[in-house]
Amino acid sequence: MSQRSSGFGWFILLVAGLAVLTFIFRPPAPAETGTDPAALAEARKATGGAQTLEDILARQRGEEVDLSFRREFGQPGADPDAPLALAPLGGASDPDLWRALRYDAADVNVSAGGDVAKVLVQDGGMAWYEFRKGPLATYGGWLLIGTIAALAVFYLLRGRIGIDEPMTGRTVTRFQAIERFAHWLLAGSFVLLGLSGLLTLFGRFFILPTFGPELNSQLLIASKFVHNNLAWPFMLGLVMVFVMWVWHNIPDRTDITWFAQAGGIIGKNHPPAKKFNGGQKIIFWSVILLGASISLSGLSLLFPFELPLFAKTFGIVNQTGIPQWLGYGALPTDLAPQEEMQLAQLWHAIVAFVLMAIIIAHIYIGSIGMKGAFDAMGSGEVDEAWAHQHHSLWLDEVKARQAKDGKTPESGATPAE
Amino acid sequence: MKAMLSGFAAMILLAVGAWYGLNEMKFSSADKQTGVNVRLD
Repeated sequence: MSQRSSGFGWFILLVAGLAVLTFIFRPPAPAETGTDPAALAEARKATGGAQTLEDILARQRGEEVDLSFRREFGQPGADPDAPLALAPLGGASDPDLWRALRYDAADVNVSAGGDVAKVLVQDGGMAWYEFRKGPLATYGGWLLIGTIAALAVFYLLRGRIGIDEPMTGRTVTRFQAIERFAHWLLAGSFVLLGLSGLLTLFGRFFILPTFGPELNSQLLIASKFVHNNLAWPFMLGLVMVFVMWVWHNIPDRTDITWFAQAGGIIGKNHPPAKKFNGGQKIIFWSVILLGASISLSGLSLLFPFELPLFAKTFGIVNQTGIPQWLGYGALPTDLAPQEEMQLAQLWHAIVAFVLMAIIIAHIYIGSIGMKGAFDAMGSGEVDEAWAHQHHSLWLDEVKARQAKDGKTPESGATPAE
Repeated sequence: MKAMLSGFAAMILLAVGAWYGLNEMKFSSADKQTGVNVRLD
């Protein structure tokens, strides 16, 4: 029986090649410009440490300005008679108060609303907003477009992966009804969650200027409903799929062979595989780990301010010493409630973009990319020729089990006597 | 295909159930994050 590569290895090679080319031909970083921080600090001596016009202009030019001096809020209680003191507030002044509010350092008391209401000016809001509409939307969007483009190129080069041997007419059950139910519960909700998430992120940039605010508004209202409520079937599907398939996705020796042949790229033989091959195991663990991470950050967003995740996580990460080792310094562990939400939103979107790219490839290979693949999740029955080509070890297991149970495979053909 | 359609149907039922149940349990943002003093409706 001749065997042929599934093409998955070629696809991985193509994606890796495109990633390398993208890195090599990335646009040059803009030349660093900016005012000398020492000069700015020197100029502040003339104002007693207060910011100068040059500080403000530098910020307006978008330059990085060390703002630590603005967090020094005077000296409350200092002798008001001392030279240069700011009587009658002692060493403190009204601008100190405003700056303390600005940097969330003021001692604010509120009668209702808790810690959330104590934050009167949330400094991280702009950074979140700029990141969301800038790098997140840009790189996220290009990741999805790049994935689709890579698949289109792959399809043009490789075409649809066929079944080399003639169809036998005998089928084996690849997935039981409950497995397919869980898959489609997960898949249907993920697709709708992905689309509604994309509308939420990109609606303002593309739909609003093209179709107007009414349509964008209606789509956003619908997206919010979909996103809030389809989260539950997604999480249920994720748990079901994990429970049913985790056993089959534990890495084993067959994966070494599969990866050694890069899914068929090296050599002419299609590597033998059990129920799930090495590539499918990558998909499975991506879905489980990234899906769980998306679910966690999603729950944090679904119940605002109730499930803060990042301050604790950053504390644990800091203890490993990795951020410090990488030169980032310790990650912040004293986060405002709003910052927790902003980080949850960004993490949710970043991980979702990665998973969407993976799932686009999964949808491709499970539909137009490979003949016979959809049957596995459609009817659940696959032809023995397909099973032998892609999951030969699993087919052997199924046949051995059938022989032991005295069952014959489902077939319209008469078995050989 | 029955399993696929059942999965989609369950997805819709769970979503509507979650929407109805969480609203009934006063889990909406309007209920959780605001009070009568700051709402106009």
